[in-house]
Amino acid sequence: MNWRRYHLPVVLAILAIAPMPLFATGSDYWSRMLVLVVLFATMATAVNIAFGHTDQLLLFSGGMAGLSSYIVILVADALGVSPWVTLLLGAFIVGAIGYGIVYFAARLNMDLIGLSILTFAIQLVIIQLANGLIKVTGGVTGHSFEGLSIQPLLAPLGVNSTVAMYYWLLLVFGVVLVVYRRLIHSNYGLAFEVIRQDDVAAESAGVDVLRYKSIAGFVSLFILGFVGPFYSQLQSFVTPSLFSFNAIDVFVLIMLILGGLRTMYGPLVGAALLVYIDQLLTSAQQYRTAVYGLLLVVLFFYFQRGIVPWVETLLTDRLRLGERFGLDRRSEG
Amino acid sequence: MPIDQSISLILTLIVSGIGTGMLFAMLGLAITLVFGLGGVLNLSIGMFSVIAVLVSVWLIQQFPHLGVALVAGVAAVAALGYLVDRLALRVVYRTEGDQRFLLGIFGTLGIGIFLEGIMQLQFTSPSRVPINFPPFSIGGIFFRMSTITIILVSIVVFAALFLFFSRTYKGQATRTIMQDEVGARLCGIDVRRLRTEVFVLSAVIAAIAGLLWGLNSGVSPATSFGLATYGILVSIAGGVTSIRETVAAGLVLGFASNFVATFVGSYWSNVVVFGLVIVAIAANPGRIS
Repeated sequence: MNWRRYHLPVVLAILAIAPMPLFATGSDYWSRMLVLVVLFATMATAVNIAFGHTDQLLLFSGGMAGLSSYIVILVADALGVSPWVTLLLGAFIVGAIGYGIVYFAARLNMDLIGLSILTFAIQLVIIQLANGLIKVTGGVTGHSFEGLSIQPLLAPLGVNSTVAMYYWLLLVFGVVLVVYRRLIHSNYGLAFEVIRQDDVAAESAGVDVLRYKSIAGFVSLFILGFVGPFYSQLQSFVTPSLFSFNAIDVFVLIMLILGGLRTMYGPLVGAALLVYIDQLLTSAQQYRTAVYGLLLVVLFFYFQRGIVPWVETLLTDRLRLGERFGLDRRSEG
Repeated sequence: MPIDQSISLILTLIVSGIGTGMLFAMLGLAITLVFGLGGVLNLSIGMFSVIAVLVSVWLIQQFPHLGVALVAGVAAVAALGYLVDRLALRVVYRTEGDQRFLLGIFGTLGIGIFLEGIMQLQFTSPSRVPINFPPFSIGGIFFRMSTITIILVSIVVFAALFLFFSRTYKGQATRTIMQDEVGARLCGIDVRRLRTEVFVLSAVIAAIAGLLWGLNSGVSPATSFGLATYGILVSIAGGVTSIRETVAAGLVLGFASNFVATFVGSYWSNVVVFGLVIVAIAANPGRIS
């Protein structure tokens, strides 16, 4: 079997078929967990594009996913239409903000720290406004929200709403992975790689650094803006705390590093592990914060490589599986 | 509004603005010193402030001696700062450039979250530093004595820091490293050791700022994120490596925060503070490096 060519459909098929026995039990517990896994895996893939591939640390993932949620919900309310109609509007606005900020920062030669703190401050302003503009956003208590369910379509098949959401988000995740693979294996990916290693050299070699960085910013934020509203849908509420720095950014970054930066399946592996750890910790809720803090330190200090690259090296170098099965070391892409 | 009353309002606002500004400046300075010396943006700084308050308040409950409790709170944070430097920053300083910056922010963010989690196990409700100040008035205008205390203590701290940086060998060595690390090494300065000492100094500054913060508002482990945020934003707005500009940025942001809170509304004050920082970064992006 040509693994390099077919791994994506195989992985997606496994993700679609394997949980069916769990869904058949009708328990909402497992389906909710799986929804969280694909949702966060999609977010981590988005962050992987900007942070992993172009070294731009944008610390407003949560704020932007939240902003998109509010736009989708509030505009839909105001126009009296379904949030499905306004879904792309939220994603486009947030994507455009990503494009603009990155373009502006690159134009001014802002470095990693400037851009990261700039976006962090923007995130704080958004969350603060969402908390404060009570008449618009509902403030701390938020806005109840149920508009993005596709269950009515699938109800005749006997599918409950969480399961329906899982398959919808799996489709989204699949599309995002296809886009990711095409992006990384095109001229864009090549340009990203050159820019990441040395953007001055890239510029002098004729790579339009400004353009490629901004495109990475747009794609990353567009994806975050697209899936943000579904996080609200899952919680059936949109509140500022749902999208705070600690609730989204820290979580997504841990997943990405744990799974493996610049890999295709790292975000999925990281998301699955972290959602699982989170479930384990529900019975020891008081230790949750401390455990995440420790995890963050240990990961960044001692395991920056991530699981996917580590397993790959193990398979290819130690066991020489690559030679036996024609696996390539860079097979993830 | 009669003139007397508006003058007294303005005066009260100026005084409380200076108070908040001094606190912001101290938090910002704790960030700037460590960043200037080693390129680490210390996100656990808020927890240092909080731990000083929690330890002091807990000690006062054990045996009622205020002075001992306050000093012990600061000393505990200094020891913690030493441990963090020796155990964690050791790993960070082995790396260079952007990699060091990333390790620095995520490492200290993790340390901060970890300490917050540990502290939550013991302390859940907000505690205040239990000092009851009598009301205080000059010419019929009432000031909060706690605010006056904040201003006086921070003036002492800044004066001590000024003397440290201008008169002592270590202070001058610190400024040298901030300007030119290679040059400092060539002059025989032990950079690693000085980084440890300055990190402990920054922890002490954060601890004092935390205790002063606790005079006017309740402090709980969850307060740490807000305090760290103020420190980082003030430091960045001031250009992140300049001591003088950090203090200036702290005063400006503290003033703005108080004025907006009084005239517009309390939640707008943070919007304006964060907004001003965005403007400061956008207006002068090359200064941060």
